[in-house]
Amino acid sequence: MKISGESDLSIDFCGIKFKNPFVLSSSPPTTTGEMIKRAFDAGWAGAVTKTLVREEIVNVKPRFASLAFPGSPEEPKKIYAFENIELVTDRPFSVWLEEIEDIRKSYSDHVIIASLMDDASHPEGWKEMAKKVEGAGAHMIELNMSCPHGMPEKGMGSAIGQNPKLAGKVTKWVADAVKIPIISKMTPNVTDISEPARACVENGASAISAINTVGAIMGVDLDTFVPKPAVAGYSAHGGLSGMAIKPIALKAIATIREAVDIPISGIGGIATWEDASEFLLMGASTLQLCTEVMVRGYGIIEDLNDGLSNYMEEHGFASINDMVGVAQRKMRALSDLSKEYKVVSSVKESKCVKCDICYISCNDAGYQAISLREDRIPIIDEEKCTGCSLCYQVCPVWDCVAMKEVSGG
Amino acid sequence: MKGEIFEEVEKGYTPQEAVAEAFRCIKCQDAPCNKGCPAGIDVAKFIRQIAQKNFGGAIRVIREENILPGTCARICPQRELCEGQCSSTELAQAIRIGKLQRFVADYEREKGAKLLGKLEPRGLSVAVIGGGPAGLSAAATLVRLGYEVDLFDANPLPGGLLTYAIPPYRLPYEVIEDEIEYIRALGVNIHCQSPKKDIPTLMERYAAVFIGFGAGDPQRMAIEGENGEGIIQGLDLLREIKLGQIENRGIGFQMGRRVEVVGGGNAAVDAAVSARRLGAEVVTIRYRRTEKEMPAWRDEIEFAEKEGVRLEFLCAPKRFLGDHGRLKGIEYIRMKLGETDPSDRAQPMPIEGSEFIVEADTAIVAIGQKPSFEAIEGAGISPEGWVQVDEQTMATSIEGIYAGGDLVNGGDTAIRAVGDGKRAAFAIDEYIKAKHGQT
Repeated sequence: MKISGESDLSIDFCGIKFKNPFVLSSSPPTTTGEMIKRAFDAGWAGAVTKTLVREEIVNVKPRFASLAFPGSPEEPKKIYAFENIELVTDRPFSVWLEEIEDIRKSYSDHVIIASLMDDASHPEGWKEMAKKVEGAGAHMIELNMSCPHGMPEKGMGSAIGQNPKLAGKVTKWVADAVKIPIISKMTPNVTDISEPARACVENGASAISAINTVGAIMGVDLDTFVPKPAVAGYSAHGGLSGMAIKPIALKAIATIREAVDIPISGIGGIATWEDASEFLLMGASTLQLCTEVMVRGYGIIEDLNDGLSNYMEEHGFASINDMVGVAQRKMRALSDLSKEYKVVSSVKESKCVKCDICYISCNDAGYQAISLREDRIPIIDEEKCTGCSLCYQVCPVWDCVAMKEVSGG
Repeated sequence: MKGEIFEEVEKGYTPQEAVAEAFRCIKCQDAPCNKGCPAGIDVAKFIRQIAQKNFGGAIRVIREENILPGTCARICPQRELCEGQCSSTELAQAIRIGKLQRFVADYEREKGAKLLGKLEPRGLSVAVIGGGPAGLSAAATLVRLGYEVDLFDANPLPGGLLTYAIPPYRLPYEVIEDEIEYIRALGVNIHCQSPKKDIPTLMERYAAVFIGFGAGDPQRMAIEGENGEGIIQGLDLLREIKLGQIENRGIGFQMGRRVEVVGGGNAAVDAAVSARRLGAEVVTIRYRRTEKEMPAWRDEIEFAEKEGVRLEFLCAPKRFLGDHGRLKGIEYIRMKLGETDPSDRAQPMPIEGSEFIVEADTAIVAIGQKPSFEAIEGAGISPEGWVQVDEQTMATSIEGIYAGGDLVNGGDTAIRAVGDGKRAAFAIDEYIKAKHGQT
């Protein structure tokens, strides 16, 4: 029984209003129009369809593997990373057109984005699909030039995105064919992500989305010797998603933002409002999610919205737009960072649980600046401490070790 | 000793402990914990919020449904409610929902509470009689729905039994005081030491009235020697202890060496623990049925046993023995369980000739309370003696008069009273809109 409302989470992205920044990425949670509608009912602002192609797709079984803390009675299973070898949509293009039209009719304040894929030698294929989804009512088109598994073998997906010339060419074909905004989706499996991003922007992309999954092999089954996921005794390269790739995505967004002045849709390991806030501060203005929805369902939108809203209120952000890029402006070349700023480790005795972890780390991987008192309380030798913060990183107690600033800066 | 009786027993979580505990939650899709809350708190949601360090969001979710979050976190029988439903019970142990709620409530108290939103003023007034959990909840909800609310309470301080009966070691006065302050800040006009109101006069000034003045009159045993010196009512003792904390002074009651407590509810258990903490050597609770039928909560009983309180079952006082009007002992009679009564508890029957005498310096009587009905003449009364209401709307048989809390359920949890008050407030809003139009 709610009596009052909360912060305004809306954002303008390429001239289109999103009621909150949360969008389902082109992925298993957007497998059908019916699923997208349920996500909209749950509160998601937008959705990118699973990627549409002209050819028929047959998926292998199984298609997933995960890297997880195994879970125990004391702590539930936590998935750190997810690998998939699932392909683009296996449903007919014509059915998708009907579903896009239907969603557009039934939902007036939600954004439907069509994801498209073809190879770099079929301009007509790209253009025809783009015109059709525009005709069906898609608000925007996202160009899938970044899928790392299966499709590159056929000259599609990341085979295009890894080549700035091809990426630019494909973007131009579609941008010339339709009036709705084009988002080019970047692969992280490149040396410098700013190159394909710049090529796409120069050729008519209205926005960049980043990142698609990171090329990966999840593991090896030690009994069968088959890498995971195993399909009839063999495996293939897959794409990694989930919280493990969040730092890769944040770096990609910072790099793109530095190179081109264009709206960014942030993707890669967003699971909570904290992740979402970090992506916004780093320069994304809409956020795409998949893996956390695969684990917890569409309902997570409630926690994302509430957490973000509360964060904005606590930090005095009046709008999402005010948050965008604030942290990216605090990135510098490493050589420009202050050499005068000095910190040393300090341990709060009352909080210490005497686990010795800081001591071991500093002794065997640091500067031997920590010794143990008779009662096992760590003592910092401030002369030896170089302020690296290894002890702070490994300490299991939240507010025990602190890096304290010392004069000299 | 004073410090011991006033100091809160249970310690709160640190942020790290709270997040770790919330992280244990396996996030069941159908959230059985939610179904266990009489105030309808979205428990699953606030646990997820704490796990994600969204403490501000968590307290808002709780307070939206329960205007007394820190209070109920401390005194709710969670094992019988939300925690009793938790799926993790099967894995390891139930998530400590009460402690998590307390953590965010305390966190907010420390950081400064943010007021919940209110609808536009409607220019109509509602009266609330009784400042316990039911009345406070009704008043806070009504004021948020846009009404002018006058809350009347007979005592010098609002809060009802929360203020005057729950011992400080379970609920420090500062907690309920701050939460009442929050309700005042929302805009509720609280009038204390208010004289008795009669309904027809109230109905002239107010668009509706909510009544939640609880069950304040102690039940009498009507046995020989009941009014002798050394015999005290459980609620009188608890009130004195709470006033001691509020007024920062010693306790006016002298506990004897041997204390007998008659009754089986939470007030009996609280009084027994308090007697121990006030220095009584031997404190025995005697209840006429068995432990199984005791209305007191398991957690409370276990705590009392830890505090050295003895429990004896199947005996009832027959008369108080005195020496020049001063209590010397109690004559009990043994009981056996007979037929099951309408409340689904076996009826105790005396065993003829089984009388026995126990020496006692102090007797504490805590066999329940009943409401005083003078203020709601004309309302329907149930066969058990409580005000009858529609279960959904809390409407009494008199138009425009709603009631909730102990007054209608015969004495239950604060959280149920909070739920009653809130439900009544929404029903009052519907009633007024129907009668006076939407605006």
